[in-house]
Amino acid sequence: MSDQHRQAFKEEAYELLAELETSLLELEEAPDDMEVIGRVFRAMHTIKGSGAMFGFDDIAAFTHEVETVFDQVRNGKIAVTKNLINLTLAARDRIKAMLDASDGGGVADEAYDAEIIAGLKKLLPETDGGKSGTASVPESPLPATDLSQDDVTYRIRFTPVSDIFLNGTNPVSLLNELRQLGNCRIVAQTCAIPKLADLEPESCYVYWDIILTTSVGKNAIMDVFIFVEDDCDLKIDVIDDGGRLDTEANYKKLGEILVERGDLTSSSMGAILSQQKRFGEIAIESGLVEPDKVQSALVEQQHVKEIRQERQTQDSVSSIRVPSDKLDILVNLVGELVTVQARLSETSAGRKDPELLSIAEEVERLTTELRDNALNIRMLPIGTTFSKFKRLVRDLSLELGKEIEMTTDGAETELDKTVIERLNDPLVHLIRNSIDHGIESPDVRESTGKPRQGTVHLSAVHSGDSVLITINDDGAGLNKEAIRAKAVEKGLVTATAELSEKEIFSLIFAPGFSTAQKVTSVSGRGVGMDVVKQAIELLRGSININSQPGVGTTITVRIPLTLAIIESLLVKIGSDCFVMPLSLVEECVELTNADVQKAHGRHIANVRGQIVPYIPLRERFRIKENAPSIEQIVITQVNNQRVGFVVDHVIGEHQTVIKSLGRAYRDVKGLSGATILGDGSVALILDIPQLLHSVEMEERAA
Amino acid sequence: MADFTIKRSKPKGASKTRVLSVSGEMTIQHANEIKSALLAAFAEAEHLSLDLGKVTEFDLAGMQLICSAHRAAYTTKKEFTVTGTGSEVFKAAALAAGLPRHIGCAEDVNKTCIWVGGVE
Amino acid sequence: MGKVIMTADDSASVRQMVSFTLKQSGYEVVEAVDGKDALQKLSGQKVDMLITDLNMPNLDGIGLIKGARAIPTCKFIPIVMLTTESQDGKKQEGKAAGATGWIVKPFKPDQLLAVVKKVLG
Repeated sequence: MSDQHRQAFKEEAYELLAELETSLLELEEAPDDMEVIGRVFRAMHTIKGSGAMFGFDDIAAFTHEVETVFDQVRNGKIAVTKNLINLTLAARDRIKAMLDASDGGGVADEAYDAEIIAGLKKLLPETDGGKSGTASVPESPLPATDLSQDDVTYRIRFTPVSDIFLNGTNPVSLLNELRQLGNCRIVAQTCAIPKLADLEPESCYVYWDIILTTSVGKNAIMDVFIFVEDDCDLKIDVIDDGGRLDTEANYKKLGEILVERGDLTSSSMGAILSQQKRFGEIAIESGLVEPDKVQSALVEQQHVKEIRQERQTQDSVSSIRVPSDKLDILVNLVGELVTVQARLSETSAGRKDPELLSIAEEVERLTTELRDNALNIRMLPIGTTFSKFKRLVRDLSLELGKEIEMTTDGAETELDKTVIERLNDPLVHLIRNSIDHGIESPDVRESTGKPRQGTVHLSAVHSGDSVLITINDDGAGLNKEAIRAKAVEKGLVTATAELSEKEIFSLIFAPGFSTAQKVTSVSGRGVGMDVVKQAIELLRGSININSQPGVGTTITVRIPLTLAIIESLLVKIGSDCFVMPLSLVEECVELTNADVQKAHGRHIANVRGQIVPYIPLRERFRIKENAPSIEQIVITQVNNQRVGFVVDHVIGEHQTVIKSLGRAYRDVKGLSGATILGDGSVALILDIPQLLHSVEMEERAA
Repeated sequence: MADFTIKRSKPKGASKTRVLSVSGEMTIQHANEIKSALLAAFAEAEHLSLDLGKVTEFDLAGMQLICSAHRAAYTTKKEFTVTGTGSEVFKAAALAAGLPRHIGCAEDVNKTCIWVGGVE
Repeated sequence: MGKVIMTADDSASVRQMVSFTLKQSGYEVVEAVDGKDALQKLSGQKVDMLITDLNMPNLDGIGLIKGARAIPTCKFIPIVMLTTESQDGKKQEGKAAGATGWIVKPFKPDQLLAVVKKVLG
């Protein structure tokens, strides 16, 4: 409240107090003068009321007591006595002192105040003695807000009395007030309006059905009608509770709504239902219900339908359950679409029709978006798998008498659901290996100055169209000599073979290799790592080992995001097209006849000073036609090795929808599937790691 | 504040038609006056056209009158049309009172209810 | 065109506060010092709403409400009375006399505006 208003009140109060003094003295002369008594009462009343409004709460509370007494005097319950006049005059002086005090003058004297009040109270008849208390418990006509946060839908029937206009009420402004509370639909019921001749123009014949969805609660709705409580018939029902109780999925039938509202009897509803037509039409035709009421019920039905739909949309933002085979079908269809789109692009490129070209481009853009979205739907965070591993690590370390903590990182990284499922077993193997072979026993660790507790860190991170999953332990690291010795013992390499570190590490993926001194129940009998490698390659992924003695080992698994559609490189040998996963391709270089001759028949190319072995696919696939004079080497990175694959031509990048080869060709090595090209022909998808593996095996055998 | 007037006129060449044109506030303040004017016009016409184009304010009593006149018309088999309902004032008032609807009342056999469709 | 509201109150400070609050919200305000003054002004001027105190000299609030309802231009206007919590019976008396609603003293400017909006639409 501004000072300006306070100041105005004070001026007024001083005036009133002066007047009060005069009136009281007058009253002493003529104790029965009702006019003077009224004046005293009004002065007190104004000081109290205005005092409270402008923040003079002490004055308001004190004056209230005096006013209460004078109310009784006014009603003839108490006579004006000398004592009353004295007390009131004393009270008047106290009020003035309080006014002065608000400016810093005057002194508060609570004991004296209490004395005056006690004296005044003695004058009151017994029954009223206890009633006078504090002056302000304001009742507010403002809407009170409930605590409830949920949106609840109410059906309100507001039927004003016919002479509602006569006390200045405009029902429409109440409707407007309701509209401000929430989502509101209002239907005026006009059926009671009589013909002109019978109309009382100043009466209200209309009533309203209101459907309101709001979070403010029923009390706030009642507050809207606070002034007309006694001048209307108000019915408020909850028809939708914001989903807390909505078990029935269906909206109420029109007939049910009408019966609930009392506009139709249930037997009439049955009669109408027995006819096979739209309920509303029959209800009106048969004259059982006024059209207005049907209209209003229809509005309710619509309103509830809409808010429920809205709620459903909101719910679905959090999650939606769909059987995964539905998603598979979607992805398949998208795959088909991608194929057809490729044909469209190719055909339009040949036609040189600008309009067709622009359509094809648009379709391409949309297809790519659709593809990404469809594949995205299948994506799940890898985190659930991670938490399973935590349990595994805990159980294993107990079993082996080791102290191991597992930390994870990137649990939110998303991967195709199928990939996650198929990744589970290989990862379990790798983690087991880290725990069994990697992390030392606590005593050994302590003696080498490491903390007793070992750590296995599992992390996942996106990298291009792949996900990198790393398993990192702070254990002993791989023992190169032991691996080498074992490999020689198993006849995997010759004793004199010159092997790089990476080559030695990759030996542990060879079938039948195990370095564990002790065969434990955990790492089994050395069937682990080669199985892991196979499983990961089946997912078109690759695996990579890094290790430092005494520091630890890091195994990195690179997995493509999805199995259904891949970005790939389309190449050509003779008249056949092949597809290589782009994620494995590093670069393409030319291979001339001169280069081949320089290498003296060995399949080795010199790429910027680096020796890169290559596999001539023409030879390998026994393609008869002659090679062009300049061939292309597609250099790939597989399991830490750079290996080239020689093809005739590199056509370019291609979005490849993977089709399986079917049962008959399932076991064909070196091919992971097929795809359909834009012109309708089939291209085989090369299984690069498998090709490399089989070539290595042949060489070793030779 | 626009003065309230209600004028009755007879279009040329249509002796059985009366046009009643209201200007100013079509509110409860003038409800009795409007009712009398409507009754008088109905008494001498086969076709009554109510022009609301110059109305500056409607309230519920005003709109009740329109409904009531409409009802009177079809019970006496007379024609009743309402013009000038395109104004923002009219549309806003009808919406505020919750009058727009999809089906007219039971008596609206000729489907001429002015609240059906259109207003929104 | 701002709506015209009359405030009838014998307390100058309340009148000032009501008037100030309403004017700030774009209403035009006519002040009257008591019921008699209010009735006189009402018969000469059309107002859209009346806010009246109940306890006033010369003619109190109830008398003013009855008198106002008898004036044709005031027959249907919203009339809001200012009451104190000790006057619950007055609320009924006021409604019977034709009041539209009430505001309980003490009130804040926001509460006043909410009620004005409620009855004026």
